[in-house]
This record gives sequence, C-alpha cells and structure tokens, in this order.
Amino acid sequence: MDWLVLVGACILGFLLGQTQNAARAQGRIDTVSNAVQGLASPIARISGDVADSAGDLFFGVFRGRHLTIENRRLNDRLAALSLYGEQSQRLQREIDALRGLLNLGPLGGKDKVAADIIGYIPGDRRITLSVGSAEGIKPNMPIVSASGLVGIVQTVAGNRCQAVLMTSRSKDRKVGAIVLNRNPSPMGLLEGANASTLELEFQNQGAPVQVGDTIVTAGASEYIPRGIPIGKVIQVEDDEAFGVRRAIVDPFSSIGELREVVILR
Amino acid sequence: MKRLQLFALAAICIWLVGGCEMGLAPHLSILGATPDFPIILIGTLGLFLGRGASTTLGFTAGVVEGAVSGANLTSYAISRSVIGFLVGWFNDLELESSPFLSMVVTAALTIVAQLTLMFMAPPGSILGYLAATIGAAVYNGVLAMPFYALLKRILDPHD
Repeated sequence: MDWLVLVGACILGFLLGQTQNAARAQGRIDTVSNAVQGLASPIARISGDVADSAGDLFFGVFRGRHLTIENRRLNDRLAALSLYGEQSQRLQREIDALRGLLNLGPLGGKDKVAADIIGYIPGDRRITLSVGSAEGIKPNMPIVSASGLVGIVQTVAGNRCQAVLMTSRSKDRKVGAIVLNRNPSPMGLLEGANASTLELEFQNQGAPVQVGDTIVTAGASEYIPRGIPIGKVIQVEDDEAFGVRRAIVDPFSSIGELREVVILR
Repeated sequence: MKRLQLFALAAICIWLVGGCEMGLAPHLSILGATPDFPIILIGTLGLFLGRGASTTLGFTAGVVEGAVSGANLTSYAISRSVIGFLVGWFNDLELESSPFLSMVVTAALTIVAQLTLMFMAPPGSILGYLAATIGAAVYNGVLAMPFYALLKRILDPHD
C-alpha cells in the first residue's frame, strides 16, 4: 500500500511537471505554482523583511560612522548626477530631432517599473518579483539594477512574476551583447556559465575583444534596449573545434546585494 | 494527538516552510550553503508519521518547494516523495528518536534528495553542486535539532 502511495506521488509529480512546462511555454505560471506562490508570498515577505532588518541593524551598529561618510558622498554624487540627467535629456531630444530629419522616428523609450525581490532561489538562479501582468509586465522583459542587467522575466502572474538571472544557463535565454568602445563593435550571444560568471560567444574568432572590455546589451531584441551594462571581460579563449571565440564575463550586478530592481516595460 | 490535528499542524508547517524557503533561506547563506526548509520539515515531522503519511508529506513539500522556486515540479516532487518514503521506512526500525537522530536523518535525507534531483535535472557544475549539497546537509542537520525539539513538545507534550 505504501509503495502505491510513492508510485502515485511520482505519477502526480510527473503530471504536474508537464502542466508546468506547458504553461511556461506560454509565458504563464501554472495554476499549482501560482496558488502556492500566492499563499507563500506573505510569509516570504515577512521573513525576508525580518532578515533584512536584523542584518541592517547589525551593519548599522558596527559601521555607523562609515555609513554617515558614505551618505554624504552619495548626496554629493546625486547633486552632480542631476546636472548629467538634464544634459542627457537635451541630447536625447537632439537625437530624436535628427532621426526625425532622416524619417527614422524617435527611439522607443522604456518605462521603468520598480519591483521588490520577494523570493530568491540560489540553486535555480531564479527570482520572484512583486509585480506582474497587472503592471503590464510580460515575459522576456529585462530586469536591471543600478549596476546593470540582472535577468529576464520568464513567467508572469497577476501580481508577481518570476525571472531567470543572467547567470542561469539556458540555451533558449541567450541575450545579444556587444563590446563597448570598439569600432566595429562585435556582437555575440551571452548566457550563464556558472553562479558567478557569464559566457559571451562570438561566431568570429577574430572578434576584437580583450580582458577588461565592458560588455553591454546589443539591443537585438524587441524588449531589451541597447546599452544596458552587463559586465567586464575577465578571460578570452578561442575554441578551434567550433571556430568561435568565447569571453568570460564578470557581471556588474550581484543578486546577493539587491532588494529592489527595475523592469523595463 | 488526533489525526486531524496532526494534519493541520503539517499543513501549517508546509505553509511556513514554503514562505521561509522563498524569502528567508537566501538571507541565511553561510559559505555558499543555504538551508532547505522543506527537507528539514520532512526529516523532522516525518519521524512522527507512518510511511504513507510521510511520503505524502514529502510529495507536498516537494511541490511547494518546486513551485516557490519556479523549478521543475516533477524533479522536486519525486525527490522529496522518495525521502518522505525513506523516513517512513526508517520509522519502522523503531529507533529511539531524539534531536541528534533527527540531525543525522535530515543530513542523510538532504544528500539523498539532492543526488536524486541531480540525476533528474543535471546541474552545470557537478562538483560545485556536490559541495553545496554537503554544506546544505550539515546546515539542515543542525537546524533540524531545534525544529525536532519544538515538534516533539507540540506532538508529545507528556513524553
């Protein structure tokens, strides 16, 4: 009898997995996962907030003086950045005007939707965010932090969504990326290599890329705009057998330090 | 304790560990090892249940863990059902249960569950995965002791 329970559990598990895969192929969260996540979210928020608060308390007690100095420095930088923001808006208007003269139309901007990370599973390199289809979020939208690209939305429910991190190794989640400040700027496909690095593959072995180069998004996607910082090249290797060049990239954003992110809608 | 009360306790525990796995576990990372609350639940509450009930507990905990992580439900449901069944089988040996025993059982279950998961969904780096599994086994084992003591107090207050 007990063996039958085990066999039944395995069969049911298999069926649930099939339902999940079918829903994921449509960019949805399956019914069971959606219900479980909905029930678990309040506990996840409370427990996460308690852990954050405890961490902040200890950090503040031991690093109070350092935090005060850092706060002053950040305020100075904020004042400087406000000037930069005005300048960049003026330049953007000029670019749009020039593109208008060439009948190209303005570059499409992206709205920013702020989101809290309410769940993080390190083993699966996946995060759950506090916004969903109610806020206009769709699969394949990029998630960014102040440091750069964090991940890509995979499945969306009403008021939350799940995303795979850039470090997640997934053949169907490759992102087009280019080397910044190179002319011509070679384009390759980026995917996760392991928990802390990414792998950028160029089809051309002569692609001009060197250790220390900055990698940004190529904009070769409907959802991901050009120029989002990704990381720095830390190693370059040629694969003679496949005739490709691979760059190992150290990502700028580290999920362990993040609590809030922005989704580009 | 009546069966209905035990069922209610299991349901509440699964709800809590699901939330903690989603929001708390990443904050408790030590040297890359994070606790796996659903396995801790199976390794402790399972010691109070029969084989069929602990298999059901393992299955439910596996589905919850797979759902909150967004990972493949099949691999989590099956790997956790298997360890739930093993706990039930272990209970048939009628050993004197104690916090220390729960620590050993939970650590062993963590290794079995993660190895089963590894064969069903192979990770990118096997060595890194095995190292993380050993770390998680130790972490889960240590956390299982106070959790078992708490459950023992609730389920067998006069013992």
